[in-house]
Amino acid sequence: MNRQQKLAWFNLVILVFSLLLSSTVVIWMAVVLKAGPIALSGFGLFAICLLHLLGPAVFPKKRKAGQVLFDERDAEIARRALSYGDVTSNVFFVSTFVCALLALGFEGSVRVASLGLIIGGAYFVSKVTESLTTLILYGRERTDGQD
Amino acid sequence: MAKTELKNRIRRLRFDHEEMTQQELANRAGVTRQTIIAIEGGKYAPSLMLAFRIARVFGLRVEEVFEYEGPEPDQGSGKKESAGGNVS
Repeated sequence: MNRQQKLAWFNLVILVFSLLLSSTVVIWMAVVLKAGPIALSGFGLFAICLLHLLGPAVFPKKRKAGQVLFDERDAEIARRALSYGDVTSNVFFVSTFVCALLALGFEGSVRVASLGLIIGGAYFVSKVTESLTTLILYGRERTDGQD
Repeated sequence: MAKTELKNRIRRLRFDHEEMTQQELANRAGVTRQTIIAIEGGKYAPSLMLAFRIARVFGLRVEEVFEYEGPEPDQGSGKKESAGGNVS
C-alpha cells in the first residue's frame, strides 16, 4: 500500500467516524433530550472531520535513495479522484437546492444553520468520493510480488 | 484502470537484462514499482516520455518495447491529407 492509499484510508476513517459521531449526538439530543430543531447543532461535531487534513503529517514522505514516491500514474489517479469528488459534490449541492425548492416551493425558506449542513454535506461527499475513487483505482490493479 | 490496448515486452526484457527487478527498472525509469507492475500487466498506458525512458533503459526503440493492439485508424474518412500531414 503506497502513501496515497494510506491517506485515502485515513480520510475515509476520519470522515465516516465524524459522521457517525455527529449523527449519534443529533439523534441523542433529539430523542433523549427532546431538544427539537436545536438537536441539529450536534452536527457541529462534524467539524472534527477536518482532522483528516493532518494526513500528510501522519504519513510523512519516507524516501529511500533512488526511489520515486509519486509519478505520472499517481498524478493521474489523484487528478481523476479529485474530479470525481468535485462532480459528486456539485451534484449533491445542486440536488439539495432543487429538493429544497420542490419541497418548500418558491416562497419557502430554510434556516440559515441548514446552509452549514449543506456545505458540510457537500464537503463530506466530495472527500469520501475522492478517497473511494483513489482506493478503487489503485485496488483494481494486480498486486504481484517482486520478481 | 481499464485494460489498455498497448502490448509490451517489459517482463521478457527484464529477464533478458540480467533478471532486472521491477524495482530496479522503476528506479531507472523514474517511476514507482506499482507503475511498472501496472504497465507490465497492461493496466496502465504510460505517457510517451515514460515509454521512451523505459525503452532507453533496455537500450531499445519504443516500438521494440511497446506494440499498439487497438483498431487501425480510419483511413476512409473522405478527407485528403496534404503532403505536410496537415488535415484541412
